[in-house]
Parts: sequence; structure tokens; C-alpha cells
Amino acid sequence: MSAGRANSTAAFLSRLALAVLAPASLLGAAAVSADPASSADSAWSALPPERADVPGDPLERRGQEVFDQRCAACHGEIPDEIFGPRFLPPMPGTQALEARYRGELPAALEARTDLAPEHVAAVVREGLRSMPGFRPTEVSDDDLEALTAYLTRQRPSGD
Amino acid sequence: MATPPGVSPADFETALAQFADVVGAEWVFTDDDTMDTYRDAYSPLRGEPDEKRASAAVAPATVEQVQAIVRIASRYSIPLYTISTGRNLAYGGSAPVYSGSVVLDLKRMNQIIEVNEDLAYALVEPGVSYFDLYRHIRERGLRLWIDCADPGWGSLIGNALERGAGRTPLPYRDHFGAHCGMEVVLANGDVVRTGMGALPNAGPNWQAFPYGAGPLADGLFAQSNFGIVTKMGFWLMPEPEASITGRIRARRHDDIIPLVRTLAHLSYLGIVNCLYTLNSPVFTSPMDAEKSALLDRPNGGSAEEWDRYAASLGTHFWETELRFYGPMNVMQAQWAHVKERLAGLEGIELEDGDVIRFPLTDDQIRRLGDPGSFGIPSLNVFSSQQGSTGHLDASPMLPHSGEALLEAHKVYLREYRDAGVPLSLGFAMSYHTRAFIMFQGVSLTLDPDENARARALYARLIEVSGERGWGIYRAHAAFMDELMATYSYNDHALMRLNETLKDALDPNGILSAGRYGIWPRHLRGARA
Repeated sequence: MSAGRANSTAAFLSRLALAVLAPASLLGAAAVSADPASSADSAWSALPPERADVPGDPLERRGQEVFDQRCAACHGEIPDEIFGPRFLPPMPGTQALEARYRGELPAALEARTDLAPEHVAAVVREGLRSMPGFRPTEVSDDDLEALTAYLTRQRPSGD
Repeated sequence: MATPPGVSPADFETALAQFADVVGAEWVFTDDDTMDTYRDAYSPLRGEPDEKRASAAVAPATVEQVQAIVRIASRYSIPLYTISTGRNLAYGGSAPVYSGSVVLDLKRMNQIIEVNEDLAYALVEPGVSYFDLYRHIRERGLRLWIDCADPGWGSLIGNALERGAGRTPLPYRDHFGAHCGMEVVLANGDVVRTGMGALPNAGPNWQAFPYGAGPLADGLFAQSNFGIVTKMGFWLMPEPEASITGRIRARRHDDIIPLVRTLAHLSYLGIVNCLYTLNSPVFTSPMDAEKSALLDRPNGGSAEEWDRYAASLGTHFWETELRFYGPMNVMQAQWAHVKERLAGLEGIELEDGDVIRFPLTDDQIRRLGDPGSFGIPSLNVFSSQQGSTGHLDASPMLPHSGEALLEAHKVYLREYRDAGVPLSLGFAMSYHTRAFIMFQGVSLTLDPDENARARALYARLIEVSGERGWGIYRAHAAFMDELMATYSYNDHALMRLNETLKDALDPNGILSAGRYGIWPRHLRGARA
């Protein structure tokens, strides 16, 4: 229930602040614990993207899985070439960000290095323009934490 | 924390505590931030005092938990509002019809109970999405297709109960029509199985024969609030060998009459079995002075006048594409027969289209331009939403005749023009065997004044459609009273029947008050 639950965005962000200071191994263990609302069976993409860049950090690795399951069908890479008849363009989220940033920032979220954790959390929960927000029964707080860690991870320059 | 209307804060606290005992405290939500995630992302009332808002949410994981919740809700007269995946965007999303309701969020009930390849069916819970079932089928290498709603994160059960439709052949694309067997929790906590499922030892026969014996109860639980559906069976199509298309273009305004008459009969024969979309490059071109003047004529413009206008645009009047599924020699014979039947139509152009063979490779699937036509879920439909913050869909149903389509489209063109809103969608789609859907999209923004105009147009589309007998089949949660008021034959006899059923099945009025205009007795006086 609300009084005892840490499920608000504010509470999530305070946990995120703790997470930054805590050892990664502990966080990884917490983030991959069983969560019936976000089991591997539940996903929003037909096929997971092919991955050559699996993060070493367990929390970020879980975040990548969450991205593949929950975000990639809208925010993945736009295919170079379409197969078969065209109905509507794929990757509506990437298309929308391409139209918005016009090359000033990468349209694919995974290529971004400027995302703030608060922004990722707020957009997932509150939505943005035609993207709806997502309930904790769809993206759990643990998975949101992992996703945020993945999308805001430190990368070597030029990555 | 908001309290449902008519419920004391003490009773509400007690009920919430008892819900928490059933599902665990972590699956009862009342804090403002989480309840914001239950708002309708595409609400036409977004941010306004009348926006439909829930007071709390409870998310069970099992049918036993659903039973316990309805018993508690009944004890304390707590209004519940059931959602499955909560993704019914453009029709209300995860927000209730009756503000203050507690959302019964079934997303955690995400078990795929069975997929039977030999008998080609699936039995699923409400939280199972098209993506979930697709992955389950692929991981097991089953040669079955799913007919998907356009947004693949939707619930098979939720979409079927809204009578949604997809893009593969009939009977599969009519999602309610392709279901077989339901399990339903009633307001008193009882569990009912419909059709053959009422036989204690039905086994796979539950998903083989929909009727069983006696009255068919299933229809009562679609677009209603008489029970909570916790399982449904769906027939699935075995993967075909291939798919081909054939393209058709007709030159003149009146060509639609023999064209649709022929395609309708070919559909009733089963030779044409696809969803086909009739488009008119003339009607969907931008509004200009000449088109506006034609619409103002008493008859909405004669065929000759429209033909002259089409000639000035340099375009043919109608176009469509038929898709066939099956063995190559069968499909080629079907398309050859269609061409033979249409050959007598003057000025008709017929062209062979694409050939796609199955199974597709992973690479082909990742690059598919129209996954839904091949039983593969996607979210590509949101590409049509660029630049908007949501939309409403009015969806009038029309008979399978060119005359009706012509009359209806001129009426809707005029309504959009009068409202100063561009008509943004195509023409008519043959989702069902004997009826077309003529979708009418209305864009929403974050500006309350623009949304007020959108609401006025949407209400007008409902009204006009009802008056003409082109009833809308599904409406946004904020317009369900207006929609059902159009189904008014014999002094609203259908709604009186619905209310009689509501009183019998849900006497305390705890289930999804207001859904499809059906209010419990104690709220009927308050309805619009």
C-alpha cells in the first residue's frame, strides 16, 4: 500500500541515489530477483535484437534485457532495408526522436550518452507525447532501476 | 488518497487492507505517482476536472485472488474497474469509466496455459499480450500464427472483449469471433466456464466447440460489466505456405458499386478472405475549394462532377489490394478468378503484387514492413501518431455495399470539413465478412480548447452514425453513454435488457460501472 511502499518516482530516485553509492554486485543481485510482473516470458518485441555488446555489470545487463523486452520494439534501430510490403514504418519511437533532434542527438536511445536518470524514470512512468506511461505491473521498479542504469551507463569516450 | 464516491474512508481503508492480505501489499497501489500511471494517456479530458481517474489499483496474480477481491469489494461496495494489459489506447486505456473506481489490474495474470499445435488453439489469461504469445510459439518452434491487434502489447483477451480485429484471414482476424471458451468470475465470486468448458472433463474440447448446450453466455461478457473474464481460448491459423497479393485500381466514382458487389460475393464464397482496404486518392486528397463546393451540393456532388474533379487531380478514384494465403497453386487460382470476375469493369486495372514465402527468417522478420499481415506483433502502428499526443477513433460499421460507402464517406467528409479538422485516415476496411469499418480518427493535443473541439466532433460522429444506422462498434470510455444512446430502438429496449441483466448478475454494482453505458441501479440517475 502507498504508505509503506517505495514505488513513487521520487522514492525510486532516492533509491537510485543509493544505488550509485552501493557495490554493483549487491545491486545486481537485487535487480535480477524474481519479479512476476516482468518475467522473461513477458516482452514487447517480436524478436530480441542481436547483441554483441552485453554489459559486464549485472544491473546494466538486466537493464539491457529490459530494454530488449520493453523498449526495443519502438526505440530500436531502424532497419536499413524493409522486407516485403510496407504498411507503417517500424520503430516509431526512434522515428519520433529523429524528427525531433534532426541529427543533433542520436535518435536511437541506446546511442545516447546524455540521458539523465531522472529523465528516463519520468518518461517511463509518465510517458511523453504519444508514448504512454507504464505501470509498475508492466515495468517493475526494479526493472526501471536496471533500465535507467543501462541507458545512463558510463562508456568509454567515442562509444 | 482519493476515496470512491459513496464509500466511507474507513470502509475504503478496510477494503484496501483486505485486498493487500489477498495479493500482498506491494500489489495494492494508492500513492499519487503510481495512480498517475493508471491515467488514460490518450484522454480527451486530460488535465481537466472531468478526467476519469481511479482512486486505487489492485493487481491479482490468480483467479482465486480475483474471486477474493470481488467478495471484499461486494462487502464494502467498492467500485472496481477491470483492465487486462491496460493498453486500450484511444478507447480509455487503464482509466475507469466511473471516476473513483479501484482498477482491477490483471496484467500479472500472464500465464499461457496451453498452445495446442495439432488442434491449433491457445488458452491464455488476460495479462498475456500478442508479443508474449508470439514469443512462446516461436521458442517452441510451433507452426502457428496469431492474428494480432495493431499494437502488439495489447491483451488477446482485452482486445477480443472489445471486439477488436487484425489483419490475417477470417475467422482469425475477428478476435471475438475466433475465441472458443471463456472462464469468468462473477460479481459474487463464483467461477463459470462457458461452452464445453462447463463439462468437468472437457479437456481440449473446451477450445473445439464454442456452444456447448443451452444459452451461449460468452457474448454477455464482451463490451459489458457483467463479469471478469480470467481465461479465453483462441483459434490460431496454421502457418501457410506463402502469401501473394493482387492490386486493383478503378477509374471512376461509380466503379465502387460493381467493384464492391463483386468483392463482397467473392468474400461470401471464401475466395477473397483477406482484410482489404478501399482507398480513394480523390477523397483523401487535401480539402480545396472545389471539393468543398462539391460537398455543399444537396446530393454531395454527382458522380460526373466527382469524376471531373478526379480528372483535374489526374488520379484514379479507387484502389485496393487483395492478399491471399495458402499453397501457391490455390492462391494463383483464387487471384485468377478475381481477375476474371472483374475484367468486365471498364477501366479496371489489375496487377500482380508481392510473393512472400514462409517460414520467414529472423532477419526477414526484423525488417518486415507489415508484420501484422503475417501474424507477427509490432508497435509500428504508433508511427501514425507522429506529432500527436493521442487520438480518438470513431468506427462506424457499414454494409458491404458501394452505395453505402459513398453516402457515408460524403457525410463524414462534410462533418470533418465543418469542424475544420482534416480527414486523416483511409476509406473503408473489410475486417468483417459482411460489414466495413470506416475508421474516423480525431487527434488530441495538450490544449484543452483543441480537445474540446475534438470531443465535439467525436460526439457528432457518434450521433450522425447512429442516425444513419451506421452504428459505431466501440467508443472511448468518456463517450459510452452517448454511443449506447444511439442504440435506442423501442425506447432503449436493449439498454433496459442490459440493465435487467446487470441487476441480476451484479446487484451491488461493483463491476466496471458505466462500461458501455451500463450503470448499476444506484448510479443510473446520475448518468448523462
